[in-house]
Amino acid sequence: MSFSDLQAFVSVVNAVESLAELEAALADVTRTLGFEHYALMHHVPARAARKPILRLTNYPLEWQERFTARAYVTDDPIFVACQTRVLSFLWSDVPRLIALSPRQAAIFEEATRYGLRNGVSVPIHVPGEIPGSCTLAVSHGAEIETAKVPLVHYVGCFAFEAGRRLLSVRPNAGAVVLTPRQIDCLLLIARGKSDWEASRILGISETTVHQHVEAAKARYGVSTRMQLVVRALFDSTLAFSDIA
Amino acid sequence: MVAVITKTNRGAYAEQLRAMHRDRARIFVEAWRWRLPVTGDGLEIDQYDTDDAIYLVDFDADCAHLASLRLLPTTRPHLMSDMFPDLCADGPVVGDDVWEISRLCTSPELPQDRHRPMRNRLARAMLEFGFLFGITRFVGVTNLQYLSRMLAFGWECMPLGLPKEMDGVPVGAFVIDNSPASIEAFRARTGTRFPALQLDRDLAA
Repeated sequence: MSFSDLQAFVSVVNAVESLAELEAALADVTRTLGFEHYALMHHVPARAARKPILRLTNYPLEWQERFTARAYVTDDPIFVACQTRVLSFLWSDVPRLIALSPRQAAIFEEATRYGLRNGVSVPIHVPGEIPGSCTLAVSHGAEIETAKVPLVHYVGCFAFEAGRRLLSVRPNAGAVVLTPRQIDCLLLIARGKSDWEASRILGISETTVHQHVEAAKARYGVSTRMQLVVRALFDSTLAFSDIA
Repeated sequence: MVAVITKTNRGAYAEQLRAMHRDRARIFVEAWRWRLPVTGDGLEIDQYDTDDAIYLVDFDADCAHLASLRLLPTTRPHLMSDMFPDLCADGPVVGDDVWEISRLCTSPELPQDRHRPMRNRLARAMLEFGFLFGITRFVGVTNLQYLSRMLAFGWECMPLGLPKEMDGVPVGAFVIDNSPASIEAFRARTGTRFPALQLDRDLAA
């Protein structure tokens, strides 16, 4: 793959408008680079995710099902290696990068039976976000040229960013926005203050505090103060450091 | 708000700039192990921190550093032409409308979930600054291990060449396009049209 191929790929993914387009570009570049399989993923079980997550892959379905059923997401050797690495790596280097547990060695061995024998993985770390990775894999046992690793790194980083961009459109569109005064009240409630205490601190009446909290609950569509605080923490309206 | 700090208004931001240079030492030297000079009082200042440099600095009410970056004109001494010309397939991109980004960082003091809002605000400020000052392209070099977080700023970024190893570190050169369309796309993505940039009255000498 030449530099102009890489430029072309980046131009395409910078402009994609759907996950399907992104996946098509990823499938193309996977072939161009001489790989068979791709996996662009957030490292979180799909069930546990509260927001849409990235999960674009052409791994064999049987392997994907096994991966989910056996909850490999928590200790898959590639995912674990990604947590400790910031640069892309060859799968063949993983035993040197992390101490493989017997279960992890078994996962590796199993994957080869599903046609995932060797690959390059790109760890993705964005501060404050769920970690992820982009992997390109092959079913044959021949060594992958190390010169390909930086190219795959570029491909993985740009593809993942395109995925982040596509996913972030939705949560922002329906995001709950509180007024500054609602946030003031919510912050004090989250710190365990009563309406009366909050009213003294903010210099407003107890009734007004109550109304602000009720309005904030209505905006989130929740019925208890506990739910309100949890939701506000989850979407970063409040930070844990605000209330700790 | 993100302040634009030039040689002219530098005096008014002495405290903010100190805090920025201190965080630069903590991030680039202590955490990332770059071999850069650090002053006796713990500030990272190099040969490009001159009167030519323009800083975009985000800080809080107590002047604590939140996020910042340094901009250098590519028509004057800068990192790409001095140290990294080989990273560009067609040679370094230079011109009055091309400025180089370096030392881009968010404060290590920030809680986990505040990095993203700070990154967004700094990125928006940089595009706004480019728009006001007639900068059509930003260029920069990054260690590949920080590529994913650099792209997460959400700007339109293209590689300028294939990556290379320098001193055992894989690095790559990038260009960020700054067209009115890219600012518009960024506003749509971050959901706000309010400017992030704070301009003082006398920025030019």
